[in-house]
Amino acid sequence: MDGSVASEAPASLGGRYDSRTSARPSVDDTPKTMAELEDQRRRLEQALSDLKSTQARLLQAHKLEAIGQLAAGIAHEINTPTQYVTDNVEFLSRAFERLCDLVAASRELLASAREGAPPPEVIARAEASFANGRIDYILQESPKAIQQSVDGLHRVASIVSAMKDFSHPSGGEKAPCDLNEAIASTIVVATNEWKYVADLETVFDPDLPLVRCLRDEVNQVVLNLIVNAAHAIDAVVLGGASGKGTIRVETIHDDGWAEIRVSDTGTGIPERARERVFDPFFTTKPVGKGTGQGLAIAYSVVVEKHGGEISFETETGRGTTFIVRLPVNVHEERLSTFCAPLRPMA
Amino acid sequence: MKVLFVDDEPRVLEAIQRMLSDAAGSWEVITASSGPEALAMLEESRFDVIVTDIRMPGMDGAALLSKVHERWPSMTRIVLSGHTDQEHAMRAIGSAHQFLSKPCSPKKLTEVVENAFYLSALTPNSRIRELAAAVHRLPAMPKVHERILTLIDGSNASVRDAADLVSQDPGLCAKILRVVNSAFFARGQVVRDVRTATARVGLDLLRALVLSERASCGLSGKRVEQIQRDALDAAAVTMRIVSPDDQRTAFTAALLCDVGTLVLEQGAPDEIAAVRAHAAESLLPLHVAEKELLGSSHADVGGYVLGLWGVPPVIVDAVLGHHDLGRDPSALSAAVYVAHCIVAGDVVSAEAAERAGVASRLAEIRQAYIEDKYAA
Repeated sequence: MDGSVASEAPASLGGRYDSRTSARPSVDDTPKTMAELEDQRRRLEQALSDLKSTQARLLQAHKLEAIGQLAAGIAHEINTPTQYVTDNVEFLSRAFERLCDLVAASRELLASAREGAPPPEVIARAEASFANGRIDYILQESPKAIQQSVDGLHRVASIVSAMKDFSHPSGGEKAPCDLNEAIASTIVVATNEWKYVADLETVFDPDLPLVRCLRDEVNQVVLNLIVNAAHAIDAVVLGGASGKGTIRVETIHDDGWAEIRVSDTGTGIPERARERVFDPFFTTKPVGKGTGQGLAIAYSVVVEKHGGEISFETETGRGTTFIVRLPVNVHEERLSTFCAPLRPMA
Repeated sequence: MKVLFVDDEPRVLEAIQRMLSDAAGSWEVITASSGPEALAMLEESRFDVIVTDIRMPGMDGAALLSKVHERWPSMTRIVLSGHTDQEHAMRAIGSAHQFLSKPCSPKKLTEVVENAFYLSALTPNSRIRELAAAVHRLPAMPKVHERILTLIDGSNASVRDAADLVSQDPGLCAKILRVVNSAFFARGQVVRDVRTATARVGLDLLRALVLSERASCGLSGKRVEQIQRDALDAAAVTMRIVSPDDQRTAFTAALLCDVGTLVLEQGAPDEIAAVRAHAAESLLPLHVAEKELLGSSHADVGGYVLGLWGVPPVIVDAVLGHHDLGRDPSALSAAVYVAHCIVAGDVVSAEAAERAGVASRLAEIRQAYIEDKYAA
């Protein structure tokens, strides 16, 4: 896949170079030059269409890879509450048996009390089922066990619903979207990526209007920014060994634009890398941690597909803020004319 | 039994504590919410078992266990993790005895911990127990490993051929059974034989496992080869004894009977030399001499190590009973026992032959073994 880009592109560019060298054609050469130009135009066209399909495939590959990684993290996020709910339910079911014994003994005691003085063995049985130290423990722990089980199940349900929300395909159609809600789901889905190295705070603008966008692709952009933020912090706190950093996700309504800001307290982007962060395949991460696709895709989604802007502020050793700006109320007609030449992915 | 649970999610710890509160008489359950907290508690008092999460902020479970492995080698080390990917498994396999994955049923969790505790009682000698619990690599057979790597890197690699090679190295067999029965693979299915285990592990991971084994070899290649030849002899005889359905499991069990010998010879060469001298002098079988001098035989040590590693009980029982008919009532264990008698040239008691179901075929099996031996 990568090979096709590398092999096609330089050939075509070479073609363009040729056309420049023959910039002053003699009259005799004209038909040949025209044919050459035509040939080069075709090759360029071919290269462009190859590039487009390669880019589409890359985006898909990146998505699949991201989903695979996310799935492992989400499994962990679900397995943990499942573990404690299972243990609590086991405890509660045994506790229930004890309480049943207690009720039986109490009923027996009550029945014989009604008939006069209960015989000593009935009293002894009732006493035995009370005196058992377990009862106090059960009374004390059961409410917590129930509460935590309920919390755990809510947690699982909310993760599942966030997943659904996060991955719901837009089918390439822009639709009005509550970005605050979409970002909240993305944060839940990505929990396992950031929670060991950072605390995450959100400041959502309650007045943010609905934004017409490709919701799944914008989610992907936010996910990439959060994962990058977590990696940048990881490099500082070393897996959490020296405390945690902070990721801050903010939304702001700014006069017809929706702004999403993702800030981290990580390493900052090194000076030499700043020019190239949006280049495809450019990465400063160790092999296996980054494909160099995240920000390139973010750029393509924000700028090319939505007519938005993406930029960053960074300070070495202090951290980075990525700023995504999306136009709020772009009419579909205006957008389609505006984007027509730049919509390879539709 | 004192057990320490470590997890960064407090609700997991609380729930485990509740779930185990019924067993309060026999279990003392203590919890810690981080690696450093756990280490501080371990410094304070003695624990039998530690059960830890893997991914925690700061010191992770693998780092914690490797500290525990170094400092308190005889403690049973168990991982209970929601992450079931290979990367984590490979990182922890050096220092964890067993992997459990979340969610783990209360029954499974208590079984594993109790089983580990029960097995540790088999080796009363604390030095031997420490030795066994600290082992995470068995002496390897470099030649077999070379052949496996050549096979895998060649163009005609097949799982069947790889499994045949793996069968020639008891240490590698044990390792693969351990990996394949861990939470990262098992998914509830117990794997009891080398062929299935190799297929499940796959050639890529097999390669990685072989490479990770190669560094270690505390014993001379010659001695390991001899132990391995004896094990293969016994395994071949066992195959003749059991019914076709049990052959693969029985073969694997017989193959692993001398894991304890590998552990002892690797870790306690002086003691083993003394045991040999004692056995020769008093005309005792080796396992009896071991028991007299060390408090436990190589069968006990092997069973303990394999049990700690989560190798299926049917195999552990056969290993424990391969010199002791009274240990386990199963026909498979009896078959492994009879095979060892035949290989050692000992008399097979009528009871043993009866239980292994070979009373009528005993002479024939012995004859076949002798013919094989001389043919080779």
